[in-house]
Amino acid sequence: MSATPAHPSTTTPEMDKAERALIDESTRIPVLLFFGSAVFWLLVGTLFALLASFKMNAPHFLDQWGWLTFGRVRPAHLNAVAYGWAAPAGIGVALWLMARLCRTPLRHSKLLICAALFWNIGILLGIFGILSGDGRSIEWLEFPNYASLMLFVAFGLIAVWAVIMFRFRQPGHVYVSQWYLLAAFLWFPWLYSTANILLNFEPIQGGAQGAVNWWYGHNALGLWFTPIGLAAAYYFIPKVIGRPIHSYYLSILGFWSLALFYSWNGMHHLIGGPFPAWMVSASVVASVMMFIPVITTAINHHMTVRGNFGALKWSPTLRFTVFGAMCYTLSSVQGSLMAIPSLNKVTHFTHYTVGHAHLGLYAFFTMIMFGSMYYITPRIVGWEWPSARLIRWHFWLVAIGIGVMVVALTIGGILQGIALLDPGITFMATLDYTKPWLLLRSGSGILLTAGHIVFAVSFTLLLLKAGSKRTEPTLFGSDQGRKPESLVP
Amino acid sequence: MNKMPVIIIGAFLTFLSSWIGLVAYPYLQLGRYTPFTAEDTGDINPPPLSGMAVMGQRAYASSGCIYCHSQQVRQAGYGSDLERGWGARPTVARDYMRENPAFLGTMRTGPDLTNIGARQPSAMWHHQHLYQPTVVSPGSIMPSYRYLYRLQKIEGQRSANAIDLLPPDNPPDGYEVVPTYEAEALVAYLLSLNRNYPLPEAPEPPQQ
Amino acid sequence: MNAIVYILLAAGLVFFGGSTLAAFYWAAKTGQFRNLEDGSKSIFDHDEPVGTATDAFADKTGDRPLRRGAIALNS
Repeated sequence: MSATPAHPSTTTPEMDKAERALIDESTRIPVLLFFGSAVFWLLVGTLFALLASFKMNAPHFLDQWGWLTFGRVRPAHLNAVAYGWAAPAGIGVALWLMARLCRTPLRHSKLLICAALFWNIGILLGIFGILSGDGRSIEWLEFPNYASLMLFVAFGLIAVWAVIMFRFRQPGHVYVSQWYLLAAFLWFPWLYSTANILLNFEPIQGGAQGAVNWWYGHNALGLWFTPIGLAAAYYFIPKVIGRPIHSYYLSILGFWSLALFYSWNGMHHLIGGPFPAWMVSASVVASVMMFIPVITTAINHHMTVRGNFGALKWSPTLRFTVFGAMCYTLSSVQGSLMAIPSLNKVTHFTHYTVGHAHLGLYAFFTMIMFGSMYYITPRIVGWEWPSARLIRWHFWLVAIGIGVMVVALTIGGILQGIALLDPGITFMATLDYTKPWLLLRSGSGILLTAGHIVFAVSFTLLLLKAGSKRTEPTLFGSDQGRKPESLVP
Repeated sequence: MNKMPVIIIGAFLTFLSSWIGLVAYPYLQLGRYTPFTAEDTGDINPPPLSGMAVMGQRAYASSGCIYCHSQQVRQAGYGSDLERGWGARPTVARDYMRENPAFLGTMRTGPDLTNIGARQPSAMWHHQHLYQPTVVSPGSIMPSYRYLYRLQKIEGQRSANAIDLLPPDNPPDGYEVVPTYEAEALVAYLLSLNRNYPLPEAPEPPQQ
Repeated sequence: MNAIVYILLAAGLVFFGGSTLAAFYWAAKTGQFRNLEDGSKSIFDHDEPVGTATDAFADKTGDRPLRRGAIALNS
């Protein structure tokens, strides 16, 4: 009953290469649809982010229209980047990984094209709905019903596709990334449908909504974005370096312990709130237990890269992915600590939480998505990235941008939190502690915006085939005098 | 290695338990409160919302007030909510039984609004504040919600619901600022926010 | 309407819970949890074997990007 080896010794390198090229090519249209729309929504979401951030510095900025009031621009930002950028980018990466890991050309691409269509219509309707005043003000579930229904249909199609793909895979081992992806594809429709039914379609009583809201909100991060990000990291880090993951046993253990502890975490967003103490305590305990999967993953990634850190100098994919993997550890440890009531007391209700969210969804997830897209896109279009310089600019702009943002929000948030705890400090004075840091946050937002524009330009140029025909990867160190013969040892 | 099935079943059961604990349990228990009628006074708590206030709830959601204002007073030991005078007692699940959605909030760029109706019982204060926050709250970084108000020419008598404004925020001579229906609804909702009533599970503490 | 919510929730539970359990059962039965260290090599093939950098980069001494990068293997 033991799994058969993935690549029987009867195949030759040429056969393997041809098979891989065929599989990569078969994913082209659906993956590019998801990537393309993701890049578009990234730009839209970034614009909303900038607007929201500026409004914190200058409250009167563009306040004459209801469409652009802070309370709408901010959820428009969250939904555009979470559901418009991060999720489709993740889906694109997941589709490609599924095809590669199942070692079978992508089937039923029409299902996926339909899903991409539904998805984008859903996002468009949802953002439009929020801006026009149909937003629900339930964090992470602001989309009005007509939009979330579209997303659910798209999700259903993708989940069905994933199961079909898995059925038709080549015999062999199921790699850890596939575990993460399949689990994410099954968990998310469950989470999304349950939460939407209970909060938006047939809303339950208000007293119970908070628990369901944060069960969903936290699990959307932990059981959807995190598994996809980790699936990509578990594939690209060993694949780019050419060295198997340090301890495969730990990676499997990490998967199951993530499934085990993450689902209980959500209530740590409501510590001290109107809920039975045991619910909150259970969440605090589960949040602290998250140290287990996080530390196993961190050790594993570190040991895999160890001895090859020099590779970060060359490989864009590796640099973005390792940056993301490190921030996964950082944001998870931070999250576990934030759940401890004595620390939560300071950070709750402050900008610190916003910084934490960006550390998780941006510095971890988005950076890994960038890295994955740098690997995948050339392989599916058969064309190289046009310029290493653009990739380098992209990396440094967003890495510095997100670094400054997280530091600014963390310091500002702690100062705000300490001030809020002291009833001797007037509420208005608590704001003064945050103002300079919010200004710095806007500055970091400009860096991120510039980085995203560079990325979008680079992506568009690639699609327009402005680079060179794909022979060798575009590397950080290779933009000047890049001659094909110099690349061959 | 043969411990794996145990881990597997454990993972499934835990995910299931979170579903039961954080979804099914709240739905069955926290989601089925009935209002409490006080025997001595006959007060129904939490009090029913007026139709205007229900419309105002919708305006609160559509304007995204939740992104800066919470509506929960935490117990003593979890921050200075009580000391800041945001409520006479911590809020409990039943307080939210008439809320849809429940605006618990996770951010305090602005103060908590659990009992704003008790703290600021004047409708005019709220209209002035929404129209131009710094009029009544100097130093505030709340944006103006003047898109909820109309500037109109005074036809004969000044409208009864026109907002009192001082320079530099006042309208030009012969004009007045009146709230739209949405603004009236939002203010009705804000005025309804008063959760200082006693409940069996949350008695009102003695007044100092 | 309450009944609909119940049915939807119960159906979700049975469907997603059932498929999770089925997946677990299948994985254990087909030996996905055996020979784990071999499993880690399943992402490599004969064209891109272990020891081949696929987003090629320089070896540790030179600064010349190599197609088949020199890799420091686990020592």
